[in-house]
Amino acid sequence: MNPTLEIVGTFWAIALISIAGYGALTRQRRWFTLGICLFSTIPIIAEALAYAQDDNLEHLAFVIVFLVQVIITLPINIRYSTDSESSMALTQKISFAIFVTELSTGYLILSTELGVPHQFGYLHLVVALIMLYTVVRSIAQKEIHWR
Amino acid sequence: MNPSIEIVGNIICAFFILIAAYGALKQKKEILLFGVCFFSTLPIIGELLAYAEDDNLLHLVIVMVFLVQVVITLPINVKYDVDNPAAVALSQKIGVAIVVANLCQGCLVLNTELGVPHQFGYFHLAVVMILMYAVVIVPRKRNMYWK
Repeated sequence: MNPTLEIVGTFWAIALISIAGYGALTRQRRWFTLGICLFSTIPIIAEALAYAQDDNLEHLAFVIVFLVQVIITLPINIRYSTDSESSMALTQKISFAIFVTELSTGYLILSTELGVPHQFGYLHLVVALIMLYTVVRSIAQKEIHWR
Repeated sequence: MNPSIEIVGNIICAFFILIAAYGALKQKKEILLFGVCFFSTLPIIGELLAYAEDDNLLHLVIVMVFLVQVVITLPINVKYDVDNPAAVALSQKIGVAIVVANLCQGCLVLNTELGVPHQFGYFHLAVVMILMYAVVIVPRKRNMYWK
């Protein structure tokens, strides 16, 4: 990977993960989903550039994975609370799907030769931890109210 | 691909797509989700068998795409209607994500040398059509409500 892209990508990813972490800690749904959504665009850009370089279909498959993640995390301007059981159940499904994606991507980057720098694998695992935190907290403390 | 697996896979895929189509036509959310969820498990099995044969990481990435799809389409026993805009918006996001994933996967199977028989590409496109009907057409028609 181009060193300039790697450095810029790493700092940008850290900034967006911090936004998502801040949103998760302060229970501000808009910041949380914005951080995850924009973070998911980084692998799309990087994998599209990598596909342009080597025509390997692995990159396109990764683009599909993160395109799906961008769509399901798009911040929508609708408010709901724990009173809406159906909305909470759908949110938990989405959170669990993101957790699975990030965990598997992190594991693939760290344990195989994908050509992606290892720090991005750790960043994906951090996002997986943030998702796990939100899912566990929403299950454990039913009366948490997101803004 | 092994011809026996291909024939059995075709029959099972067609069966689950018919179930999903029935669910979409009758506006039965759980049946639609059941069909799409089980349809998504078939590429996971197919790609895992392919990975065991050739160790190509592309298969693992495609497994990730469908693992996420299985998670977000898991049928959950929650009921909501048009009076719950948050749940409707979340389910539409999920629907659009599945449309995008299957559309990309169908295009990949039909346009590139993935080693997947072409009829599976058409099956993915059939799922796209069913979900387009469920996500775009049904919400616009009056007196059509999901059960």
